[in-house]
Amino acid sequence: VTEGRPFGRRLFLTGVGAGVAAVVAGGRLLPDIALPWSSGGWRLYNVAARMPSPVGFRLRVDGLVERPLDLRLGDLLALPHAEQRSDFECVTGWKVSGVRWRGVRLDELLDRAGATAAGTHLTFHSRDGVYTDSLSLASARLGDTILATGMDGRPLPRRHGGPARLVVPTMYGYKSVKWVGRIEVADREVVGYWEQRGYARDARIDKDPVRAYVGRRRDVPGTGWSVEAPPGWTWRALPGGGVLLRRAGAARVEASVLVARRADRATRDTTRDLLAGIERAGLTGARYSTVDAGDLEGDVLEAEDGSGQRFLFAFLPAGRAVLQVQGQAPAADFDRWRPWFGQLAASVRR
Amino acid sequence: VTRAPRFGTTERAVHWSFALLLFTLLGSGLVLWVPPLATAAGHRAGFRQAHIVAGLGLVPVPLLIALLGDRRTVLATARQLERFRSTPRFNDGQRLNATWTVTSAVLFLVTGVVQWRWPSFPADWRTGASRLHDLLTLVTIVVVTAHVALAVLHLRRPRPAT
Repeated sequence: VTEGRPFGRRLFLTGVGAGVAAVVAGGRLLPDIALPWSSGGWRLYNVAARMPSPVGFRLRVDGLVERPLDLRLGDLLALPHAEQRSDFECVTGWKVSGVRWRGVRLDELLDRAGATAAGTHLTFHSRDGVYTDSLSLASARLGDTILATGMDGRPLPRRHGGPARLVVPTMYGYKSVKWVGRIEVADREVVGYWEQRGYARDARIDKDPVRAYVGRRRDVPGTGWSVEAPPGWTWRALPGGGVLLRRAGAARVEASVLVARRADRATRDTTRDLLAGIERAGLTGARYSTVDAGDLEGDVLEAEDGSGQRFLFAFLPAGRAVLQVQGQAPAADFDRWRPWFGQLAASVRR
Repeated sequence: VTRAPRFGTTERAVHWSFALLLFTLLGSGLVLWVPPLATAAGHRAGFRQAHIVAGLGLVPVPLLIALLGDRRTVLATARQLERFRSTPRFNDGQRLNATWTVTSAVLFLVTGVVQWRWPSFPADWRTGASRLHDLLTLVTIVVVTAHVALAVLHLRRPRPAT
């Protein structure tokens, strides 16, 4: 009864092999299926029974602050807003590229509330009453960490966390708490909703050691921040808020980070200070220029050390800083850093 | 006239345990995937948990039932299914359906685990896994619908038992 070749078995083995190969090849072999009900490839997550209503919206900023805030939606919308374009990436592999967010920088909110030196972390409470997550104060003060009230040119829809949600482009989506109603400045890290359910507490998308450390700065002279060098690295502060990192034992500077406390202080003067600092650090040929890369503009510094190692520093007006690593083949490095540089890198690479 | 039953108890248990798990997976999976369903249903962690538990059972549960039950009959049936053009008991569509079902179950499991245990896998793999998982879901919906429709249409005219 069992004559014939086992085509079924062969199909099975071929199918499993092809499937596994498609997984390993990443998204290259397979289409991203956009369901007709989701514009732009979004998936909508809601952990509570229902989405909180925008009616009665309040945003409180409290905890270790000098001036607790209690804002109505109108008050929040009246605060200075920034616009940015960033990717939204989920741990499960879906991603929405180039979302246009409009919102209030966390930095701005924290300054208005007067976050005290005792605060090390922020706890975000969703208005759904269930979801919480936390960020280190340093991550929260990165210029592209915002409380978004607008998305793609419209008020933030309820299903996306409206009236206000957190957006943390350097981290996976579960850090970008939806329906934010309360931001609490605390002296400890709260384990978030998904983190209690097995998600990693380190949500950074890019865990490169150099960039990774940026989230842990405290105390750089002139900036109010400082740096904890990654293991095996030493650092040196530059006037104007720069930091040079050196791998222990290496003769050359391997990477550097510029931090600017706030956008309005990221002036040509601080840039010039940085330039001087870089030269004193043994780099030569430094020059700066201003670039305008679509949505972003900023100062760019280029420098070389004696061995031909090239450095590129990007200085964005978003109030953060930036960094670069360099090398004999800068273009490849710039590709690596592209998520951080965004459009700026493309314009600078030439 | 009495006919020999086309499938034995173990075969039916294998079939229905798989079917039950698959429908649980389709239901919970659609809630996790389709935005209007996700926002209407809420309770994401619960649906996610149900999806993971049912997903982990999809391959081992029917396999265990087969091993503990009348495994010789199940094996013989599997042999008939994987050899195309051999017996009148199954036609080629049924063989294709069986092959697809087993293949997709394994791939669902692999791609599901990559998404579930995400910190252990590179971002690239997760993108591939989530896309393949979605693609398998769409094909599965078509195949299962056709399978159920044909089964219902032919309830009164079963194929031979051997």
